[in-house]
Amino acid sequence: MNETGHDRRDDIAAYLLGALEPGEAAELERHVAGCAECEDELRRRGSRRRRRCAAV
Amino acid sequence: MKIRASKAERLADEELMPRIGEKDPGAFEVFYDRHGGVAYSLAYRIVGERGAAEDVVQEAFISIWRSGARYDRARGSVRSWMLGIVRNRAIDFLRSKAGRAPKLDFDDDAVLEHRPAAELTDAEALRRETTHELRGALGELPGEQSKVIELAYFGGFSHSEIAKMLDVPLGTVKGRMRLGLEKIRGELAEGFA
Repeated sequence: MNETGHDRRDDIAAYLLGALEPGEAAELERHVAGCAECEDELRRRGSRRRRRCAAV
Repeated sequence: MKIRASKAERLADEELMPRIGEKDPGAFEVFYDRHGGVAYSLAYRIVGERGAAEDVVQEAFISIWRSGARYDRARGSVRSWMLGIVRNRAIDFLRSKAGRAPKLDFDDDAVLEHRPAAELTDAEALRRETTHELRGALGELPGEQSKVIELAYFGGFSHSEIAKMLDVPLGTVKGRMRLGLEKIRGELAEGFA
């Protein structure tokens, strides 16, 4: 649960694995576009990975 | 009746399929634009070679063009059906290479250039790892977590399909995916530290 009272981390994990149905993925993308915390969660994961990869 | 691609874009996959069955190029163009990227990603993850993945996708879409009318919505989504065809073609390719091990290293650019920039997240970064590293990290996970990740990542199955396969609730599947991904991230990061 995050500060705004919702937890989409499981959905984000499924999204990252390409495991959401297209409609669900589109819904999550719309949600993330309007939710700073989820957007940050998505970006943070991506940027952290890219930083680590860049260091290899 | 032939339709323009711009009109076809507004149709759901299930509505496109009968038109593809009638050999409507506008409908097929939209179908390819919509699913070509994910089809390539799955083929590439399975065969591990850029050229072979392109061939696999081409063969799969030619097969769909020829047999689009055979899609049966009672057996699942169009996406799942399409990925099943890609998966089978990819496995056929690996079998045809009997005696020669598939190349296991990923070519980052080959995968990334086929994906929108907005999707450059954990999953894309994961694809930068070699299959060996990812398989090794998966091997460290509890079986219930590695299973759902393998089915999604290497199998191209959706979370609802995986839930049915394993007979567990949807939320459980997604929860296992998240826990597994978090551990993999830790494993791989530690390995490169």
